[in-house]
Amino acid sequence: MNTLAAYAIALLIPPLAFYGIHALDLFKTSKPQMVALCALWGAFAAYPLAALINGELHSLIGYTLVVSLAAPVIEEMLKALVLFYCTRQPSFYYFVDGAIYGFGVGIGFATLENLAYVSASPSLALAVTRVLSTSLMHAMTSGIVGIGLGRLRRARAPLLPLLTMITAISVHVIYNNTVNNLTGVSLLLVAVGIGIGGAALIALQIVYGLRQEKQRFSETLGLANDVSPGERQAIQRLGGASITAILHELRQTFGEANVDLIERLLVTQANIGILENNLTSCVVSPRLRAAWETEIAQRQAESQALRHQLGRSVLSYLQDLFPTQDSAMWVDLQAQFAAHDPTLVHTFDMFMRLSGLAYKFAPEQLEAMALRLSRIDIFRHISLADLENLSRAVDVEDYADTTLLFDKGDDGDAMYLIERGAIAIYALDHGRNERHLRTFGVGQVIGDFAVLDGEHRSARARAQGDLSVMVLRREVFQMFIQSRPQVILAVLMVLAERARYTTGVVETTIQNLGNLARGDSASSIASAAVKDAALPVTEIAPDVSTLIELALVRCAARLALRLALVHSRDHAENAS
Amino acid sequence: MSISDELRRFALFEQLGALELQALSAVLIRRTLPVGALLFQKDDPGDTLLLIRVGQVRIFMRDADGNEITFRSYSAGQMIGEFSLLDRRPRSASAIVTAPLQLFVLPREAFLGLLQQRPLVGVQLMRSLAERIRYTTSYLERLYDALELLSNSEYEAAIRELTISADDDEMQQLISAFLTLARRAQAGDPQAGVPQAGDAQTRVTPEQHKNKPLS
Repeated sequence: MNTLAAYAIALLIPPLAFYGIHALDLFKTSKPQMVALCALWGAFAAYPLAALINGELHSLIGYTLVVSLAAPVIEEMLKALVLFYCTRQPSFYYFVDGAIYGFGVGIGFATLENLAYVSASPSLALAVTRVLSTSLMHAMTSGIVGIGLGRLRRARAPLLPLLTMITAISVHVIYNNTVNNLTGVSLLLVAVGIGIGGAALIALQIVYGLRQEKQRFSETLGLANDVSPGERQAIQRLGGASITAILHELRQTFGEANVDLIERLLVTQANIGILENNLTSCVVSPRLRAAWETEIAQRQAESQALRHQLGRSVLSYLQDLFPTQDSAMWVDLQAQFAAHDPTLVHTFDMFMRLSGLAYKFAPEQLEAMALRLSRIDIFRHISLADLENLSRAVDVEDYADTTLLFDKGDDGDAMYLIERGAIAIYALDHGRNERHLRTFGVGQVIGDFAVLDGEHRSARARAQGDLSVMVLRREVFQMFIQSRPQVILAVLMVLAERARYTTGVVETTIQNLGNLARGDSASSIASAAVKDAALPVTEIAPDVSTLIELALVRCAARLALRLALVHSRDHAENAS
Repeated sequence: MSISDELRRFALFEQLGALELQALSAVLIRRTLPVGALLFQKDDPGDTLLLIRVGQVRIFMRDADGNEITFRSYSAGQMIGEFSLLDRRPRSASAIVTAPLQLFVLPREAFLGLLQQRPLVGVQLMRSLAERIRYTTSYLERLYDALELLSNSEYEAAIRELTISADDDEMQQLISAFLTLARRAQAGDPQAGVPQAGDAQTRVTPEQHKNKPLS
């Protein structure tokens, strides 16, 4: 009965231990199948081999020497073999996993050893204390060896595994030399002592390992040699690509799937930081403030969800590497993300603040400008809060009569919204003489497509009269939209409507031209076009489809007679 | 050819980076259709983008008498429905498979998700739509000028204005429709000379006439 209970306890230890590992949420990085492999190796390879070798040694060097010295060395070495294999796997990233695998092999080894001991045990109490303490000792010694091998994977410390192996063997030697002389409480105390001591050693290694990692990340970020980065310096470093290096490092540690989550988490945190900076340092209307606050809340929810997915062990590691209170590091990280992929973080907002442009206009001015921008067709689906944010980058410029705004062939680098005066557009003939095409007036916009595609200017533009314009540069517009999918979608919707519309105009025009050529539908075109011509085309210039239809009407009116003549002639020829 | 390489063949995606292409290919649905299958019908809800990998599709409508009018054909490397994807308007024409078809389908929901994750996809799409509108508008403006000339009975000048080749089927149709009209009008004018055969040979590349003023 007693023996049965001792067997039960010996067999209960592995499931309890693995449940413990799982409950600590450490499986996010370590592989359960690897832990299982380690346990199986410990139980069915390392233990039998050790038993075999120890048995052979008995006859050579005697029982005492085997137990007190040879066995610890042999057992630790054999257990470590599988750890060496595990930590060399390409899927091994996080050095702490080495300790987990160590626990696995230790528990596996101890279980078999315990079963053998229990079968020959004099009493239940002794059996139970022996079972507990042996499991603890094997798990700890292999854990220490495992973490040493794990750190070797990342740090240039070839002596580390040797040191941890010597430590493990020493602990094992001490245990073996005391355990057989002790019973009951004192044995348990030794076991607990080994447990605590081993855990402390492992914890110490983790802390030390993390400090090394942080050092490396700081160096990668460039913080180590420039500890007081003025924000302007940070933005000047936008060209650096060290975030790539950081993500590469993280990939080494946590693997592809986790790094995707980590990247998203860091990006979300960076954006929250940028938006909070907006709130504290920019004076804007209540509407824009509210929009920023809403976005912060949304991103915090995202961040919560990501944290949930990542798991505790990875998070505590990240908190250590990227502490929330280290604002200099975050400013740098934001700049790094902006350089790495400007669509990830609100580069525009960083730029606004760092360049001082954020303080150029008063909130009321921004609101008024946003309202004017909202009347531009391609902006009509963008929210007023977004337009107000964008308005911060608008320039108001004045030009004297006949000043050249842009010439044919120039890069389309800006759009102009006329506030006062007018802009005249000229075509250039072969002798480079100007031929006036048309004039745009107050409220009209020129080059709105330039901010979208940067195409070369197709004509020359000059100020007419005393001109005042709101200028939106392509560069800042692109910077603004690239991190704001909702704005991109709003513009895309207008563009799709327009593209569909012009395609429709082409289709109906093809039909109308055909009808007209046949000389039989001139009147139907005329009636359709009269309807369009009646549309209110007062303030805004008539668009191209209206122009085409008007031209078609004129053609129809003037050519109808001739086309009818051709038609009847054809008809007569066909009939004859 | 990898999926990324294949996707890069579509003008809309040619400038996407590896990450964007990867994200895109993860949300695309693959479909195969035999010859004669209707891909969609006029007035079907149109909220998907169709990318043709292999095969051909004919876009058509029926006129009042029920006759099929073919607008154009789409083949490998071309896209259908990039407007519908964005404005969710029903299909304006029907589409039938004319050569065994392999498609990538991008539903609107997936596209919106992609846009959140990789906004660059949207910026690219924006550029290509803007370019398309400019392109079409430049032809229409040219047509306007030509129609003005035509209504002033300046036949030669009108024909010269639009004697250009387009790399787009639809524009080519527009040009031929106009030229037919202009020649017929000229033939019906007792005061106009007979058009010279060589006149229609002046070729202008689309690049050149894209530089027409865009207002």
